[in-house]
Amino acid sequence: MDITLETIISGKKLSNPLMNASGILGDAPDAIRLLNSMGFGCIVTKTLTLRPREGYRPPIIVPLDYGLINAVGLANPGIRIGAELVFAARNNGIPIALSIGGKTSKEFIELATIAMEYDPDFIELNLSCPHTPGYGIDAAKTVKAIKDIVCSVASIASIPIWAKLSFSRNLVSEAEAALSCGASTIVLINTIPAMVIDPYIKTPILSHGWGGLSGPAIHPIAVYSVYRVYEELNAEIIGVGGAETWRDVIEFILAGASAVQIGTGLIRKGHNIVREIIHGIKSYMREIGAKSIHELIGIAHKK
Amino acid sequence: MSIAYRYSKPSYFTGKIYNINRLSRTLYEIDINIIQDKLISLPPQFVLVCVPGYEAVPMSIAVQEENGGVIKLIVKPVGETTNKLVTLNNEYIGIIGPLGKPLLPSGDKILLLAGGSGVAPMLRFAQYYASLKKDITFVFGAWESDEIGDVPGIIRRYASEVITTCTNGCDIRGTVVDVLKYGYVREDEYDYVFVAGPEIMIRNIANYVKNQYKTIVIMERLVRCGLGLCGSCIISGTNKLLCYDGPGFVLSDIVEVLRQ
Ligand SMILES: Cc1cc2nc3c(=O)[nH]c(=O)nc-3n(C[C@H](O)[C@H](O)[C@H](O)COP(=O)(O)O)c2cc1C
Ligand code: FES
Repeated sequence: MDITLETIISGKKLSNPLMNASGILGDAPDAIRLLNSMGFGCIVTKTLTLRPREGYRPPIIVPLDYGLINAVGLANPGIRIGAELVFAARNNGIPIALSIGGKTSKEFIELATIAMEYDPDFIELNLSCPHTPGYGIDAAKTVKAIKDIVCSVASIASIPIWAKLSFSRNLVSEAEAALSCGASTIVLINTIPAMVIDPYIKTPILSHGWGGLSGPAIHPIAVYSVYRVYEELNAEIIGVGGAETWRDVIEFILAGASAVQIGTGLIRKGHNIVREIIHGIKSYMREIGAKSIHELIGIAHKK
Repeated sequence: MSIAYRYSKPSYFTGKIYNINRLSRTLYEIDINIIQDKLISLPPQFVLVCVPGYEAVPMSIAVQEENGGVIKLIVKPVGETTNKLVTLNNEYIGIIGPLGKPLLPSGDKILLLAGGSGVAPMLRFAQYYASLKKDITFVFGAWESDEIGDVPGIIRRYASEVITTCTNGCDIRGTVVDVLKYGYVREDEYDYVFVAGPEIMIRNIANYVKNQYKTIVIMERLVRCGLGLCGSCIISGTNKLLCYDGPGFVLSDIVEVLRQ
């Protein structure tokens, strides 16, 4: 029997469980085509805001042995680019999630209303960017704020909503709040607040001072987060954080993820990473006798 | 014969500037010690230079010494950050690199064409091919002769033949393209032609050269992250990122962008 890498997210079939993480390319039609050429099963756009944002001045990313620290500052061309991005994805026959980020539930509603005109396959709510005042973790500071945003968007949305959260001590209650409002899927996790200082210059390296840590350094935290939310809530989950090899991806799936996003891995391993991981997953499935991704999701929980 | 094809992973380094020298009216050389480390690169890889309190700006590595313990930049001050940079002798700066991919075709006769600050990446190619004992012709052009200044002195360390061009007072009166057009050097006598400089010069040369498979161009775009993540440096009309796929491209791969 043939092995299939198909997976289902929000009721929609994806040809494989890999997608790019929001913020990694994905804010121009050329970039959508580039992402499509890498072999992903779905594309996620950069987080789009109501108005274009310049972001912070470089340096915006510091490469480290164990990952990256970034403070891009949500630089993006604004929600209106969404039309072209969805169009580019459609032309390439690949599903697309529009990521949106607002400061208030009112802004989120406005963004979601515009996003729906473009008819993407999914809408991802960025409730977790750690370095842009007013957005992300600032906008979604409390369980109540998360509820407010997700419930408002879900009440008007006719497209599946993903809620992207970061690791926190309230992770399970936050995920529960998002699900109870009608989010179809929880995306776990965003970057973790972090800082690097130059010992000679004696100041933080990033122009913004602090940023978000991604890559291998956060992978075990992300696996833990997926495991916990799956265990407590049996939710549909997309895992993200430090996935660089087929093992990392399989870990996420066994912990309970139905799909996995890749960000930092694209630069640490190169643009061939998707094909290499798919190859590795197939060998793994052959070895253990698995036929589909579906039969692997969450099985680390069964004793 | 092969030499070690090796370069560092992109990382953050602290550098200390130990020499700044004005080479011409518009160009400075800056020598930097990589503190307690080595930044090993191959041409045409580049770095982001983080000037404390200012921005991080992309710069070609012009020369690499002591196996990456020392790098030389050639800087044309154009904005706030680069104007600050050329005053920072004996100061510390941050350096992120090496960025981009090496692009090193093999050949015995190499022609390097540089306009203005495009001399920086071309110097690094000259250094590399000179280390392999290849035959190098280096054309360096600018508008005025005072923009040429002492730069040829550095080029001569690596290139057997150096030709300067400008409107008046150089080896050849005219532009870098004119050197090809009027037969001062013949493209077909070289195994590879490398070009760096203002985009208009690159376009003129792209329109002129016959063998687009043997021509390498060094492109410039707005670089923000330098690591292939933000998309700011995409060469529009292609699906190539300058900081990931470049900054050097075989002309045939991007010829549609340049020939119009
Ligand atoms: C350069 C960069 C930009 C990012 N921008 C966004 C963004 O716009 N929206 C968002 O939800 N997450 C953003 N993220 C977070 C990633 O989507 C992802 O959650 C995180 O990097 C962990 O995954 P990774 O280790 O595979 O990179 C960004 C991450 C990086 C490195
Ligand atoms: S500068 Fe960010 S992708 Fe090239």
